[in-house]
Amino acid sequence: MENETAFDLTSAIRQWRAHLAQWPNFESAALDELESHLWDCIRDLEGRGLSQEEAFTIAARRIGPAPVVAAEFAKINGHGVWIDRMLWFVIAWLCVSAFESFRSVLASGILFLLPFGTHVFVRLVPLIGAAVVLASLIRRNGFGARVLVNLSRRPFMLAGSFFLVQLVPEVLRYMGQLGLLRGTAFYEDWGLLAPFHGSAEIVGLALDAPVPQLFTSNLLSLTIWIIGPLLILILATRRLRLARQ
Amino acid sequence: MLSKELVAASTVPLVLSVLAKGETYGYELIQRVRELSDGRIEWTEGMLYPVLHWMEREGMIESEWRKADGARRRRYYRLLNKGRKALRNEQQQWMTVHATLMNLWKTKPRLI
Repeated sequence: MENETAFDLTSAIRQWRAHLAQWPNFESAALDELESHLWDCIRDLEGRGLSQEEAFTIAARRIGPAPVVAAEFAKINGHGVWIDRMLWFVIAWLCVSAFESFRSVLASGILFLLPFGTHVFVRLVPLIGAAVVLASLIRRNGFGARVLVNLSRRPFMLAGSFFLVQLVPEVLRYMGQLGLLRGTAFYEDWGLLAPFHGSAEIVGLALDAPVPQLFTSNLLSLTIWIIGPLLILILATRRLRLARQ
Repeated sequence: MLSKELVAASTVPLVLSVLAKGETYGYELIQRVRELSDGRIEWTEGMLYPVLHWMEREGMIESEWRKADGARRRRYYRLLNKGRKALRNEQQQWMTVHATLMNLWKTKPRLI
């Protein structure tokens, strides 16, 4: 401490930061930035001959009242919370798919590994695909993350696209069952849609039931599959947020 | 003093224009605007950061944390191509309003 006064700048700033952190809209990077701003302002005002306490008070006032600033951050970060949640949801979903694909490679691929046909490579495609998508999602500015961020600006589009991704293989399979599409078994042979197929099995989709039951029971299990992880994620992110503060 | 609405509308063009002169961090950006406006444009300083973050997310600018004096760090912002395009667009719009008002006020100066 350079000058020994009754006013402790460091602890005043810590309290100020803790006060801001009560609002969930501030990410820790935003708090770092505001604190950096506060320091700059205090040093500036001190340079003009103000005491530490005066400089701190004025600098904090210039930044603005916490609820007002928090409200501004909320405007731009409102989706941010959902981006986080959806990102984890997608990562979890891809992990399950990749695992399923891996399992199916182990289960059936290995049997064909000795003759070593192109079959094995084709079965590896979804695995490689999932790995690429995962890597791109995890990198902060990766392509996948950007696509997801753009999509999540419109929550309906995001929800819709997830639904479609889940729906496509089921529709293909269903059409195959009805005999509408000759040779739809191609995707099973190629294993191209193995991740979706795999996740469908895990969730317990009833794929072989008659038409009306097929619809209702699938709808039910899809709903459970989507709402369950979402609830867990919401709780988990709350936890994370509390732990970070 | 500017009205609240005008402050809100002018923040993005002001930020873009300051960054067009070179990269800088939030505190310095506010100082520049204060100097250039002779203290007539006063922001609630904390409000600048959500705008900067939004602009970064839109791809107009990018940021980078750098060591300042001592252990402290500052987040520097830099203009990107999309930001330059947005700035040209803003310039056109503001000049349109400005020119129209000037034309109107030139013809009837006594009314002011």
